[in-house]
Amino acid sequence: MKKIFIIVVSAMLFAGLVAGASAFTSAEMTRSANVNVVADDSGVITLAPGTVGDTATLENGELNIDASPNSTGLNVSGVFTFGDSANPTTEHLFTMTNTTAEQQTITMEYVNVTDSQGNTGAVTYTVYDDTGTEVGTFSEGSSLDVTAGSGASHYIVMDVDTNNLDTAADLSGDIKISA
Amino acid sequence: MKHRYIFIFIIVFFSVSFLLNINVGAYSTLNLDRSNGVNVVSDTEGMLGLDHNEIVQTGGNNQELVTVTNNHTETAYIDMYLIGDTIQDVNFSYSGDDRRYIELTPDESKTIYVDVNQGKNTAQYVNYEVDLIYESELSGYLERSVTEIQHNTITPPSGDIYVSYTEVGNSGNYTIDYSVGGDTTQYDRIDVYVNDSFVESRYIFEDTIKAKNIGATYEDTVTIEVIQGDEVLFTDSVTLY
Repeated sequence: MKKIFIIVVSAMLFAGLVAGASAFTSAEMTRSANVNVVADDSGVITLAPGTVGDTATLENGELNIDASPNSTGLNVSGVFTFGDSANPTTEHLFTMTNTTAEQQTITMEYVNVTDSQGNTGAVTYTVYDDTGTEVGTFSEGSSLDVTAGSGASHYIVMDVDTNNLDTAADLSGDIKISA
Repeated sequence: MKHRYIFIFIIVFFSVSFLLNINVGAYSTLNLDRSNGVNVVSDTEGMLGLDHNEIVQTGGNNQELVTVTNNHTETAYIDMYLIGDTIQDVNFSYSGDDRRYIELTPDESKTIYVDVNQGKNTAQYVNYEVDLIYESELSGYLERSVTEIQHNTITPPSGDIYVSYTEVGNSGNYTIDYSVGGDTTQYDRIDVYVNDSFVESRYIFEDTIKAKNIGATYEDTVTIEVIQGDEVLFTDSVTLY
C-alpha cells in the first residue's frame, strides 16, 4: 500500500509539473474577470477633488492637480498653501477614502518630480484624518504610510515653497498611492 | 487512512491550481499615479503677477512700487505690508501707513504707490510682503524688496526774510517780505508763524511774497517754514526791531 501511495504521489507531482510547464508555454485559457473601471471618486481608494477652486479636478475620471490653472505657474520666491491647515477637513486639496470593507495601509509618495533643483521639500503634502489631526507628511524622496479603516477619509493639504528656486525649476510630479 | 487524506488533498490542490490558475495577489495591491502640475515662473507670469519698480527716490510722493495682477480664476484678497526696519520714512500713498488692502477680481490689476521721505536712509531697502488669499482658501505670501534707493538731486530750498518799517506819526507798520529758492515743484507750501503761532499758508510761489496784515510788531519773531507733506524742508526766522 505504501509503495502504491508513493508511486501515485510521484506520478501526480510529475503530471502537475508537466501540466504547469506546458500551460505556461503554450496553453490558452479564457477566464472571465469582473474588473470595473471607475473614476477616482468612486474607486476602491477614492480620490476626490477638494475645495481649492479649480486646482484639483477630475479629468477622464482621474484626479488631476494643476497648481495654477489660469496662469503659467506659481511665482518664484513665494510660499503657497492649497487648503487650510487650521481647518483641513473643510479646506483641502483633495480627499482619500478607503471604500473597501477592510482596514488598509496606504502608502503615499511624490515621485517623478521634473526638477526641484535639490529642494526636495519644495512640495509637501500634509495628511489629516477626519478629526483634523495631522497624520504625517510626504514629499519628494519621502513616503507616508496611512492606516485607513474601512470607510475612513483623509484630507490632504499641499504647501509649495518656491524660495531658493529659479524659474527653470519645475515641481511637477506624480502623487503615487499604493496599498 | 492518513495517507488517503493527503492523497486527496494533493489531487484537489493540483486540480484546482491547474484549472483555475488563481492569482491570489492580483487584487490585493493597488497603485495609482496622479499628476500634479507645479510650474515655477517669474513674477510677471505668476499666479499673482508682480511688476516691480526697481528704484525709488527719497523725497518723492506717489512713486510706483508694484503693479499687482490677479492671474488666477478667483477673486484675490491681498494684504500688503512694509516690513523690517525699512518702513521708517516710507508709506503707502493711498493709506498713509505701512499697510494696504487690495481686492482683485480675475485679470484685474492695481498699482501701488509709496511716499518716500527726504530723510530716508538710502542704505536700507524698501522691503514689503504681499499676503494673498483666494476665495477657495488657496493662500500664499511673497517678500519683495526695492534695493535701489536714490537720493533725489533736487536743489534743496533756501530762503530770505526781508523786513521793512514805515513810521506813520508816533507808530509804524512792519512789512514782511520773504523769498524761497530751489525747485518749487518739490515742496507743497510755505507756512508763516508769528511768535510760533501759525498765521497763514502760501501755495503760490513767487520770487518775493508779502506777508500782509499778519499782526507782527516790535520784538515779534516771524518764521517761515517750507513744507513737503509733513516734513519741514527749510526754516528761517527774523525778530522785528
